Amino acid sequence: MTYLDLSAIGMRYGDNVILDGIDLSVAQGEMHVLLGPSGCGKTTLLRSIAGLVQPDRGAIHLAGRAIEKLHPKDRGIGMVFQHYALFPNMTVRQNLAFGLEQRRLARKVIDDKIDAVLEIVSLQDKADARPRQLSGGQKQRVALARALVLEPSLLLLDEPLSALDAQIRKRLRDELKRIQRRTGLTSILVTHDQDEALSLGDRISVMNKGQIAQTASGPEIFYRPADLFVAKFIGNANILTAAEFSRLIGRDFDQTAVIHPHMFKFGKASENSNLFEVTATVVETVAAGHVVRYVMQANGIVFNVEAQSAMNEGHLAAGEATIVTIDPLNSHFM
Amino acid sequence: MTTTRHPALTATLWLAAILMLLPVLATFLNSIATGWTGGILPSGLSLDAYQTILSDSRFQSALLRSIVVAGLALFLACLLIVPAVIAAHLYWPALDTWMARLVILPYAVPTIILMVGYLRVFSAPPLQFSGQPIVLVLTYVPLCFPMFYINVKNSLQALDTTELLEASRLLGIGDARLLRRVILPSIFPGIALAVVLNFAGLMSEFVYARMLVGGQFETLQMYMFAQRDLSGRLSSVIVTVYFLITLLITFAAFRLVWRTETKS
Repeated sequence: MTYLDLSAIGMRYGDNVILDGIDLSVAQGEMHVLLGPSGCGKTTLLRSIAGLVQPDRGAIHLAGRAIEKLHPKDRGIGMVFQHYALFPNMTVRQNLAFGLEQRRLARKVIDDKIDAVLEIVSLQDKADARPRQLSGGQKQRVALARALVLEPSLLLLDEPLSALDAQIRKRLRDELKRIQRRTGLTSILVTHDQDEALSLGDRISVMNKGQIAQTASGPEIFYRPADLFVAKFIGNANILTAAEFSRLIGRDFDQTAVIHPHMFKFGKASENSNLFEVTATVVETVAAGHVVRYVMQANGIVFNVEAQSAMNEGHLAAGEATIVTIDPLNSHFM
Repeated sequence: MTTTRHPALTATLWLAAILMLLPVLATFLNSIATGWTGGILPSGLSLDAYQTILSDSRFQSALLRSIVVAGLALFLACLLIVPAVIAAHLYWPALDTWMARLVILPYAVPTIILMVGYLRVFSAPPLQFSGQPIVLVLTYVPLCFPMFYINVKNSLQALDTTELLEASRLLGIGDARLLRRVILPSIFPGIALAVVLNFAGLMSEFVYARMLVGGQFETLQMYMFAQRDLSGRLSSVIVTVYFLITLLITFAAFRLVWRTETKS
């Protein structure tokens, strides 16, 4: 069931089309990710939903209510910013209370709400700390708590993890997912990081030049990209034109092939199978932890292959010849 | 973790500190000397010169005039400049780029040209205050502008006010409330620093005072100028007193900043 509905959102800035007729439906409780390169319009779309920018046209419905004309504070939306946007002179508790105080609630109610939210983000012991005493990850959890404490109908997250370093980013990513599950809050997260999108999103919208190129689940986007842009943007699949693929498999083929490096199998194809068999030469070998990455060449076509590694198994060296097979079922043609 | 510093670096630091302290120390020493000729140190010490200066009612009035004029000018500057810089930073970025360019005007325009201009402005209605102390207060305000602009602007830039404004809009906090509860307290140290630096500057200001109000309103620097032929000792006392007052104001300002930072 549609909970948030965007229809024909359009916005231009001078001659630049920023948003080009965006339609999007998000279900209640869904974590929806807007993914795309910088300048694709994903942040502007998020800010349009929040009411921080006003699109030229289009309608936004949240829980059955038209909100596109409302002031940001009346939309029932919480937002987490890339650089936290915490109030630096206030303690964590004061940061959370500041918004609640506008609602003329009793002090006791405010305190209870804050305690409950601090428990969700595991920051009970930091209630009286100031932002500058917190790490980046803790700051972002405070920002999340500040959005949650107002009990919004929709949570918007604008690249919430991009200012953090790799280790903390991963930890907070898992925690974000856990908190979103626990609160059941419908959320939209903007990111340019495909790993983040794939691991967080129930569904993902890949955006390009102000339009949504594809909206689907993570695996669908990964294995069945809708177009060349999505295929190139997600993962590092081998993308071979019809002509290139024809040369590789040695017979005529009329579609572009998208083959992920880990989908190649080593060894000959059995009789009468519909696998494509390719005799290739190893050009380069990189043993990187749990995988071995090969660059191979066959019939003048260069492609990437990835295999699981093991302690006691050797791997092919550059210059060696091998046979690999491609399963059409594990490949994508478009 | 301890960092090891190169001895030459430490020595340079000490040298710089000594170089900066030497004039202050020498002035102080001269102010309490009975005689200082032919030796590296004075021949005797006494506080007589302080007695003379501090009990001179002309000195007391001059000091009071300087403090009142500087105080009024700084009060006006806080009232006019701080809101203008904040407003431009938050809502009129285009205006802000102009402010950044114009900020050096009080320093860039030769003082003599400024003086001629001021004299003309204040000799005709509606601002016919020629020679009155109010002229000094009014002309000191733009003189404070660069220091206020730089300090307030730096504090604002450290805040990321755009995100704060957006966050507060979603939280239902009005701009005025955000300004009062978050932005002003956060940039307060910057404002305090501007006040202290400008106070020190205005207390030692001579050219404006001399040219705009002349002999009718003797400020500290003008009193010092008048005493220049009497005795170097008396001048040293005046300078030392002026240093002490500036130090006191600085100290008070930092205490205030420190208290608001730990309290709020």
